[in-house]
Amino acid sequence: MSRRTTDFLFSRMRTERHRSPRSPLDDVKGRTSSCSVKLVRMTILALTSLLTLGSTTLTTVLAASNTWPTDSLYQVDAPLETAAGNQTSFVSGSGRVRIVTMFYATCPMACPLTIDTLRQIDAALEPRERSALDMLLLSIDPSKDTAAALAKVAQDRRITDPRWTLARASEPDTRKLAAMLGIQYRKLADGNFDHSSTLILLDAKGRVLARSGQIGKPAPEFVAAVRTAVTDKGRTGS
Amino acid sequence: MKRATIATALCLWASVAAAESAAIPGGQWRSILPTGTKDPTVAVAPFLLDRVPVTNGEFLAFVRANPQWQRGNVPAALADGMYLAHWAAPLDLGLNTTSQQPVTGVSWFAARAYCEARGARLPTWYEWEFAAAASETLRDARNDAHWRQRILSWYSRPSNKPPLRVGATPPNIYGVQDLHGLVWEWVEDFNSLMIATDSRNQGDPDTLKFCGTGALAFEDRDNYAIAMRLAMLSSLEARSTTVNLGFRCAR
Repeated sequence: MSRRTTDFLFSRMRTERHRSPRSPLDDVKGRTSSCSVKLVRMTILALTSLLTLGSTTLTTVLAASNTWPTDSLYQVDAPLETAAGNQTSFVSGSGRVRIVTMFYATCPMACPLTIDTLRQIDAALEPRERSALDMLLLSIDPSKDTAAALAKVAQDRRITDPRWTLARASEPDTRKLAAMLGIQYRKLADGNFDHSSTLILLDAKGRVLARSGQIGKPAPEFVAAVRTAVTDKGRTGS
Repeated sequence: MKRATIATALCLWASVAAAESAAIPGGQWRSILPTGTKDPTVAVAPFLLDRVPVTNGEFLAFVRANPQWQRGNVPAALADGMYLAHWAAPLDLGLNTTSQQPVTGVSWFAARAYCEARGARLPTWYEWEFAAAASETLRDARNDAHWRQRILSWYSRPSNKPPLRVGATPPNIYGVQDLHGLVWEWVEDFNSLMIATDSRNQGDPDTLKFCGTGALAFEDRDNYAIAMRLAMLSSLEARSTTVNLGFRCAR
């Protein structure tokens, strides 16, 4: 809406007000009304200005409010469904240190080993350190790994700690998250997958602190990186 | 004023973005990649494929309408430092770059965003390979030594020259051009290529990429041209850009 239009609308409003019969209260009302008219006018101008801004400026505004560091993986977001059936997102786990990896429910060997590796990392930490660390396991087989299927994995693998999240995204988003994380996977004709088993350590702002392709026994350097990250200094994500 | 510019840019981009696509019939496909099962073929469903790669002109219109993808605005996580580096300015191709050349210097994220904005997507590796196996007369020309040699001769052309314009190579039997002889092209599942058949080989995933076990897994070692593409794509990250890597969209 242009300034001319808002001016026109307000001039009509003022005309309406002057037409109504004056009462003793009108003087009081008149003073407060002109103040509130100004306030309303300013608000409407502000709102319409915001709406009429081109997509450039709006995007600039959005970009300005994007506080992620330029190399943060949280530049990319995706809706997630957890094993509990909750709707969340990749970025909503930010603000805390976390290890992200990918797996699938019917994975015969690598994924149970991956889960075990994460458990060993948990065990290597002091309780205070452990409480500052989240685990996110994303499915590379979202069409088959429903919330119920993920919940069964959690049950079978005795994953009960609320710091651990098993989740799935849409197929295209799964590909996008994997690309972001640097994880490779390929669906074979029989429904199995070729995939890399990579653990990615993210700081609170989504920057990659460490990666490890070693499963079975966690790589000492990776554990050291985790420990550093979950100390007070690492947790602030500075 | 700014709003009018954006609106015009959107209209312009929408009109050029209605790219011509060819209908690819699909079928059982014997890929260079092992299927990992007893069946040496996989099913490729029918799909539409752009006849030529996305051009500089089309991508320029896209970034005009989507400023978050202009050079300088894209975070490092989504594109590396050479993103659209060959353009004179974020919104200016400059004198050395023409609008009819295939756009290069774009990351997988950028290519994907372009296709998504058009209601399309990147082709999968199987889809790309399926379409690229066709010559002007054959649906599957991979056993044609002459055809293979023509493609190989392109690989010996120095890559420091800028690419030719799109649409200059002869259309294959589906009407698709420039699958060979122009630029490398992104595929949707580029990060599914060239990995070992299971994860029992421990170590840095980078070392599993090609040579050694990866190369030995090829079904058709004579098809060097396709092997080169696989090797190239599998070495990339999603944020990578190269001066010879472009893309086209599929649906």
